Amino acid sequence: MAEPIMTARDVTKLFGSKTALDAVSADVFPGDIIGVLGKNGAGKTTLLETLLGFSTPNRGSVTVFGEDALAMSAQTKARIGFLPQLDELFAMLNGKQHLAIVSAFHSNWDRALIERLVAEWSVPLTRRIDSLSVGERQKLAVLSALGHRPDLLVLDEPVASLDPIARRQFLQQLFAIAEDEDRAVLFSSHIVSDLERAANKVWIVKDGRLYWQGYLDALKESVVRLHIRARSALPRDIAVPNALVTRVDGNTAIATVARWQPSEAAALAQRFDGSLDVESLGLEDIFLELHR
Amino acid sequence: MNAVLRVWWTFFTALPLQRLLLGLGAAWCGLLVLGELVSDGEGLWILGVVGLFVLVLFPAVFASAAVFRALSAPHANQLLPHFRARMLVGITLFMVTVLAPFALLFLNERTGSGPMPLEIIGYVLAVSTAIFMWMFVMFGDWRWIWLSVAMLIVAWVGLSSGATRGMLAAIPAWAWPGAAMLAWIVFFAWYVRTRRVRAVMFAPQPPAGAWARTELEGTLTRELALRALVTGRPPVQKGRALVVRTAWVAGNVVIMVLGAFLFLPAPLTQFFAFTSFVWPFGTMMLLWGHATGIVHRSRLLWLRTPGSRDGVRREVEHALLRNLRSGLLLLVGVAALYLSPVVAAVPQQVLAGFALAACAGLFSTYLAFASVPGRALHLIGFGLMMASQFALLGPFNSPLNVGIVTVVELAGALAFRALALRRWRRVDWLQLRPLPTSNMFRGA
Repeated sequence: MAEPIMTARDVTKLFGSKTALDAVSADVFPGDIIGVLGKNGAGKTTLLETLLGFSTPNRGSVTVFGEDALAMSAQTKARIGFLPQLDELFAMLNGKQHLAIVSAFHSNWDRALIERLVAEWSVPLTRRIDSLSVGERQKLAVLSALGHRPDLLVLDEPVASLDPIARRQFLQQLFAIAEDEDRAVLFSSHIVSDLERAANKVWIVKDGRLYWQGYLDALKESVVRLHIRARSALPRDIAVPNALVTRVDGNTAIATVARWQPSEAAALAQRFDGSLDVESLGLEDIFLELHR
Repeated sequence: MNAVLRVWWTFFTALPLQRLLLGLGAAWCGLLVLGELVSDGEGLWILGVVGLFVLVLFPAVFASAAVFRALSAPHANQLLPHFRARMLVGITLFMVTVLAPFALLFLNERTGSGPMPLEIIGYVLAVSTAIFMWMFVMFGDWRWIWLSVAMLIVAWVGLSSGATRGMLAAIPAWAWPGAAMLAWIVFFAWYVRTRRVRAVMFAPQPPAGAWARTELEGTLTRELALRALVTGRPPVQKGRALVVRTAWVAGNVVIMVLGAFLFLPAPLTQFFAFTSFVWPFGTMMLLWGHATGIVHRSRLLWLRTPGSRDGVRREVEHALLRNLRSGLLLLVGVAALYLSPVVAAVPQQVLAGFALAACAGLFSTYLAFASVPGRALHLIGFGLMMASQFALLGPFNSPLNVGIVTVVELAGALAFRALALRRWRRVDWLQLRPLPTSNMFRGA
């Protein structure tokens, strides 16, 4: 197995008495496109920025390309592309000037890539940034993060303000990056359909903890909805192993379970003296069920 | 709670410091009322009114403009029913509350033969109005503070002349509240008509025109890009830097010389001494806005500067010292003006004044450097130094006072640097983000 690009161990971050991150441990490997999901205030931004060393954890450690995230060398930092949730563009510059400043930090700035994306995404480079729309600003911020072809791309809500066409173009760009198996992408988004389309792994952040981390397919196989039909009326408090939510109505019950093993189906059907149907869920349904 | 009352209450309770002072003020008044009841202490209630004014009303007057702006700016608030009318009623009620203790104090028969109540209330209204208007424009754009400093100097110079004092005394008492009322009418008219009110802004925005003239492609080194990021100013190539700085100092000196000829009282010895509060305070004001902006923009350096937080800290300190150098260059120009035949100050006094103002700049710089995070330290440190300068350094002052303030400034700067070195090891850029910038020539 390849060495991880990023490793977090037991990362805990407190803001006063509030625990923003609670003993988070995770790895990012080359080839990963990880979608980070979580409700507002779950700790996604804190997680992404702590992983990149913007914030100092109260406990635990993060390494990026083998170096402590709080003391990365110039070479390591040059391999990272980051798009913060709130863009940090200078209002009084135009897009061209902004990209000139960002590119000055990278010897491997890919002008051809940027010129192509500027044309494809229709980014107005000659207008002052404070006169751009929110979406145009976001496109410019994404270009700033992509221009040096980073090996680790961390994007905090990259598509929040993009129109459907721009979102699709952006996702295509992510796919292009994913073709290079030495790179990894870590991005948070509330648009679950985009995340489902682009990501091969998912991190679900809940109350500062990494509630789930792993392959998207494994998540979909793991969290399923069971439709139980018994011969007689079921008690209201039936115990279904690893159930997240259970609803009982007469002799039928619907239970959403985590860590589902297909081998359990027969035993469960026998236990309730009836039949059992297993329904696969989309990522959005899984997310909703996990947060009920 | 009724919307108007909610607005009125917010003027007193918006900031944590205000809430603390409000609590202290209430406790103070409560104790005095008890004291008066128990000991029949004649006049204790006057101390209560004074305490109420110092702890509650005075801070609220200073904060009210920022609160008013902060409440007025959000677009969503414009959709609230009768929002602007309610804001105006709220601020009117607030001003009435500020005046009320004075009305009580001077209408009460126990105070004996005081000045005419209406006169005093008129002056308080005029001063409160001036503070509100001044703070309102300043919170819209920090750079309006220069106008205030200029007005302060002009007022001080004016008041030092007997003729001006005579002119001021000749102004009838009703003219002051009259002027205040006129100012409010203009403000109300503007407020109900303006399309938008700009949010509270803290950091000055570099001139857009300078950026518009800057061609960056192909000329930008990593070092220049780093400077542009941390200062927000267009990068200046090394060869041009000296020319730009010299032109900047020369321009400022020309303005000061012109100003001196326009405003200098006769005889010239009545002009502010170089060791007066004007220059150290002015230097602090000159530097603190940019210094704060630089510190907050440090987040932009993190992924662009090798190594740990020490690397960013060093870059930020260099930027702060470059900012300080610009201030000192201006002081050199001021010193030349004082040494010139225009003012003909004693060289020793000019040297002491230069040291005093330079140390104030150093204090202001390292105060901003140590304020990561926390505006509390910044406000308290700045406020204490400002108070010391105003208290110990008048327009003309003793060498002992100048020495004391200079030493305090230097010691403060060293202490803040030591604190900064500790704080920067764990600086958290999740919280320390670039400040909203402002441009006094755009928007309201």
